[in-house]
Amino acid sequence: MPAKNKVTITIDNKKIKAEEGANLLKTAWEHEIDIPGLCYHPRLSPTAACRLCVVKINGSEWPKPACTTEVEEGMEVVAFDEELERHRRNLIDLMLSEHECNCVMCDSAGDCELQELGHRYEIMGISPEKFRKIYSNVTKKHDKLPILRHFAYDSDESKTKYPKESGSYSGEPKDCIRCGYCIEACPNNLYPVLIMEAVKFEQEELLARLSPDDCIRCGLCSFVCPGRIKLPDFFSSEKKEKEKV
Amino acid sequence: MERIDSPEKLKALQQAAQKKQEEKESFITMCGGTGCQGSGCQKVIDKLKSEVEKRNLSDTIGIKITGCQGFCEQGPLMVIRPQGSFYIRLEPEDIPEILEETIENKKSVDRLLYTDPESQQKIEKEQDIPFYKHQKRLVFKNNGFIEPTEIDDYFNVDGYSALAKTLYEMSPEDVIEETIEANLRGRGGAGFPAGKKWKYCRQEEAEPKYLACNADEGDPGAYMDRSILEGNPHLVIEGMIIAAYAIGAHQGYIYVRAEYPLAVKHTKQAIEVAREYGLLGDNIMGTDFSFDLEVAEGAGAFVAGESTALMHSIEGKRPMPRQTPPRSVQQGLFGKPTVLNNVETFGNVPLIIMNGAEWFKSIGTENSKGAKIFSLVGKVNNTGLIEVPMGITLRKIVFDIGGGIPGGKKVKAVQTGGPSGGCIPEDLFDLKVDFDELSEAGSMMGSGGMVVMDEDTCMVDVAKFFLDFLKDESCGKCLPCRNGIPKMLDILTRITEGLGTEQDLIKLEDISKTIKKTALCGLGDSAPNPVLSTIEYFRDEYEAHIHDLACPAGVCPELIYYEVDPEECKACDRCKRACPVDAIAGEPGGDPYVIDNKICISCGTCIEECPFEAIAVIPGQQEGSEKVKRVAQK
Repeated sequence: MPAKNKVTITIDNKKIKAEEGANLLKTAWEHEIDIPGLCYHPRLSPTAACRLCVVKINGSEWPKPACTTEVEEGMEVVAFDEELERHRRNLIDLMLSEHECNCVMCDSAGDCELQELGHRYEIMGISPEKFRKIYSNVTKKHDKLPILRHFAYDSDESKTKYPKESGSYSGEPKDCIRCGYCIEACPNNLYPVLIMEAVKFEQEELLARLSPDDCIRCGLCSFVCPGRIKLPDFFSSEKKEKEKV
Repeated sequence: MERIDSPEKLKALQQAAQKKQEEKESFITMCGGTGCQGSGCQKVIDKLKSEVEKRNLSDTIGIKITGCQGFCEQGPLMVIRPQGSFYIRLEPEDIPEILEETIENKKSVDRLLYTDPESQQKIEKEQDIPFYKHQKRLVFKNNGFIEPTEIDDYFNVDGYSALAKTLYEMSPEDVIEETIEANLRGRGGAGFPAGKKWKYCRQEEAEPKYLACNADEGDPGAYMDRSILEGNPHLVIEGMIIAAYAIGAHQGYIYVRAEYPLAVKHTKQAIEVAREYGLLGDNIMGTDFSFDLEVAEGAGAFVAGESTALMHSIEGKRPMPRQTPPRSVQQGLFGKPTVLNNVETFGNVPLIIMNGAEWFKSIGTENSKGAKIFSLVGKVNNTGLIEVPMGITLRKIVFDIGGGIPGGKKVKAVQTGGPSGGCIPEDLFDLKVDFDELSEAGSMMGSGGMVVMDEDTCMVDVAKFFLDFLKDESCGKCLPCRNGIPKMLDILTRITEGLGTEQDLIKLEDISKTIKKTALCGLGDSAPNPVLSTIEYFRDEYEAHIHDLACPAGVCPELIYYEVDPEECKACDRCKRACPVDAIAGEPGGDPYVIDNKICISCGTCIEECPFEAIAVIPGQQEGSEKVKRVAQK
């Protein structure tokens, strides 16, 4: 691949050199500008579903998500202002309103971006750090789990620093934050989250239309899931049912 | 069947169609549109056909079953040409009289004519009826004349002449220039100039290019796209071929919802016939331009009307919108440049090509040209489809065309633009209906739904109704729309139950702003409009709900109570028998009845039953039996 042009952009008055056409959200993260974002994964095509990364570009009144924006020369980005922060707070509030928030029982707690954001926007009382401090005595494994942000950076460093423990997740459908990772990740263009819900809530008609039999058990959906939901488990329970019949 | 391979051939076919038409002495056109079907026009049509057969009139009289003629309120409709007699509300029994009087004696049947509500005069001709008189019918012009499945009828009204002109006299750039010059703005909602969209698409280098027509009309109460496709599918097809020529597309799709079986059927038939005549397929009209059309049937999701979601649906995926850019003119269907326009937009294209941009520009306001079809529904005397020039005032639409409000009630507001439009109060009725003025007033043009509301409508309840609709129709992809709309609905429900607080209004406005600014697609962007516009114009109603615990319009069950007027009550016992919760006490023939508001659930059955109109709805809480307290206790 030919080397990309380096361009200069401004994010909140901070001048940044970045590759032309690079992902704006990723670029911001790489320069330690912590724009919140729950549905962006560098290995998947962006879905722009969570809307937390909305920023104002070149003085536009209408915010656009940074995760679907490409870096251009001279781009001026407002990532944090009163209005955007209010929108983000409202959005996280909305997301938490449908979320179980049972952090004490949840495997993701202490390593949960939603929890972190809830604390950052003063909606949730407990921060992941505090949580780890209190609960690491109870369950040791939280020390070792990769922080998702590092995982998302996809750097070699994070791989050695935080070895991935396989089989440590045990999420439930209620942990789903509808980021859309699993749909993007599925190599067979299935809708894993919908299959899971159809099995869970026994919606057979819907299930039949989602063709769960096309699943090849690759496990990508649960691999990318930030809620660590064991999606294929739901598919196989369905299969067992069928075999029984 | 002969293929049309030159403009002369088309001319010959048009002349043949005209000649065939002239052979008949007169034509009876019956409206076979959806509205009239609902009023039972099929029975009338059957009777008409058998009567004509019986009287051996088949040679002299032609019968045409047309698409929607618009005046759905008065259906089934019949027009007899050339006399022009316009008959309304027909029953099968009326047919013999019509054939004797109008066809044989050339006299009109007075009792079947339209009566002007103001002057009480009978009006014979269609064009003299106020409902039609104030309209400007462009796209709808031929709906009442032609039989949708007969291409000869379309030839007879100079059909496909615009296509011949395009292919033989104009370059694609000319077509685009003409459309830009005419300033034809998309009729689907946002009002983006169609010509510009075509230009952007033509400039794209990727091949192939696609053309798509949006006939996924989902707004409650709106049915204009359906009526165009049902009544005049060839007009849309012609418009699409011209647009395809302009952008250089060779494949097009018409996305119709499957709930419109008649529209699907007529469109498919029309495409088939057009193919046989060589108007679709390879080498259209003998030129080297090729274009073909396919009908894609939608499964009825409201969000599938959003452009990127619609394209996903055609591709066979779930109709979920995606973030733009890339816009569809860059990467649309199958990742290729795609132009998507609304049915009505395509319907305007042949007219612009035939009559020129200057003619089109002469109609309408400065930035909105031409006419727009609205479906006028709700609390208005003349419901139906109307096509009016841009810039007409709402007052004229509601009172002159719509004939005012039934029952002598006062009008309160008009809701334009479907579920995501806003409500415009009566004191703004003098604003001109065009794209810009409507969005300035906090509403939008949308696809053209127009719901009239009278004083008995509770604006909080209206906002709740539309949010309830949108909650179900949200695709669930983006957070603000998926969770924000149910949240707003929760708050509105609380307010209508009398449990609202001042804080709720602030919260509503706050969430609205977040949804508006951050939602992914147009559905989310505009979803808070009903709430924002009702809060802006009818804040007093919200406050009455919150502070006075009263629903001024008498709609929200918890915020009203019923009272029997002792002077009017004749103690007939009907209300008591009808009451589902035994809340009414009294003896037949005895003292006036009394409603116990501790038990009453405000269902309204007694009001419907009472022959003396003795039961009144009173906004507020009756002392000692506050319903809000009951809700709170629950």
